[in-house]
Amino acid sequence: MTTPLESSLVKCSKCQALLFPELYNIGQLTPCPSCQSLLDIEVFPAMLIAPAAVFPEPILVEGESSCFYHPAKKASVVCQGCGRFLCALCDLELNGRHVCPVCLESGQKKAKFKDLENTRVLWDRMAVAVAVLPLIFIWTSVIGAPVALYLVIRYRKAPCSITGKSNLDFIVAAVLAVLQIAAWVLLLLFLLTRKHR
Amino acid sequence: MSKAPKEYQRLPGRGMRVEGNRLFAISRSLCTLWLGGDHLLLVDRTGYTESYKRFHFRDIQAVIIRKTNKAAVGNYILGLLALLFAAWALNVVNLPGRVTLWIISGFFGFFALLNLWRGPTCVTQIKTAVQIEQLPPWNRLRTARKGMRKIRPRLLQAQGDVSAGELKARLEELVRRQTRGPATDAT
Repeated sequence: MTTPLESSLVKCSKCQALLFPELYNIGQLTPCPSCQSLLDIEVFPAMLIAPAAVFPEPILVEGESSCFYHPAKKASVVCQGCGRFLCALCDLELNGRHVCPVCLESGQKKAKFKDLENTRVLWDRMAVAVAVLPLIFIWTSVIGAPVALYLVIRYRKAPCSITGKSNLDFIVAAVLAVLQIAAWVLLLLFLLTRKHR
Repeated sequence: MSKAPKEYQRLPGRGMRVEGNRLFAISRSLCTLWLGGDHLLLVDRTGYTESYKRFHFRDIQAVIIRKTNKAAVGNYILGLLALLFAAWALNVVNLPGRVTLWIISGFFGFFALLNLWRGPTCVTQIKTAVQIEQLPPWNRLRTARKGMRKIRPRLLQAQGDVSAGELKARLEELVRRQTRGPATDAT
C-alpha cells in the first residue's frame, strides 16, 4: 500500500527512489540523487488533487426518492440506460452519460460503450493476411482464398481498429480472394477441357 | 460530402513491448500512442488483436522520462562491426569477396548512422493516482519531447493552467506537511 507521501511524489523509474519536488518541471535532464540516472520529470496539477471519496446522502425527509440499489440513500440521478434512480455511489459517469453498474456491465459485454472497450480483433488485417500469405506457396491459396472471402463476408461490418476504420483492407482482401478463386476455377476448367480433347 | 474528423490523432513514435527475455520473449506487441478528445490511448498490437489503455487528461499526474544508454551501446556494437568488416574488406584481394564484405560493412554502417540520427534512447512512464505505466512508443528522447509538446497544452487545459513555479511550491508545501506527520500538523 502506498503512503500519502509516496502518492504525492514521483519515483525514479530505475531505482524506485522517491524524488522530491525540486527535481520537477526543470525542462532538462537532471540526475537522480540515488542512482544518477538522467531524468526529466514533468508534473501536472492533478498531482495536487487527492482522489475524493464519494459519500451518498442519506434520506432525511420521508417521501424523498431513494436509490434503487441503496434504499436508505437519496437518489441524485436517473440511469440513462434503465431509468432507475441512483445515489451518488451507484452513479457511473461515462462521457456525460449517467448509468448504473448493471447497465455498465451489460453495455461492456455488448460493446455498447466504445470508451470501455479494451480489445478488438482486426478482422480486416486478418483477411488480407489470409489472402496474401498463402500466395507464397501457391497451392495453399486453394484454402486461403475461400477463407479470406469468408472473413470478408462474415466480418465486413465488425468494428476494426478503434483508431480509425477503413474498408480498404477488406476490399483488398476481397479482390485478391476473388481473383485467386477465379484463377483456380479457370485452371480447373482448362485441365478438364484439355482432358476431353 | 465533408469527411468526418478523425477521433484519434497519431502521436509520434512506435515501440515494442516485450514480456520476458528480449531474445526469448513470451510476448511482443507493437505499441502506438494516440491523442483522443479527452484521453491518451495506448494501443498494443499483438498479431491481429489490439488492446487499449486510456489515460484521461484530467488524471495524468506526471510524465517521467529517463535517459538510457541503449542507443550508445547499439552504436558502439554496430560501428565496431562496420569497421571490422571494412578492415577485412581492405585485406581481401578477391573482388566478389571484397564487394560482399563492403556490402556487409555498409549494412552495419547504415544502421549505426540510423541509430545515431534517431538520437538517445529513453524510458518514459506516465503516472496517475493509481498506476504507473510505461509508454514504449516514446523510447527516444526526441520523440518523447515531441510528444510532450503535443499533449502538454491538452493536459493543462483539462487540469487548469497552474504555473510550473506555483505547482512546485504547492507540492513542496504538501510534502512538507506530510513529512511533518499528523501529530505535528495538528498543533
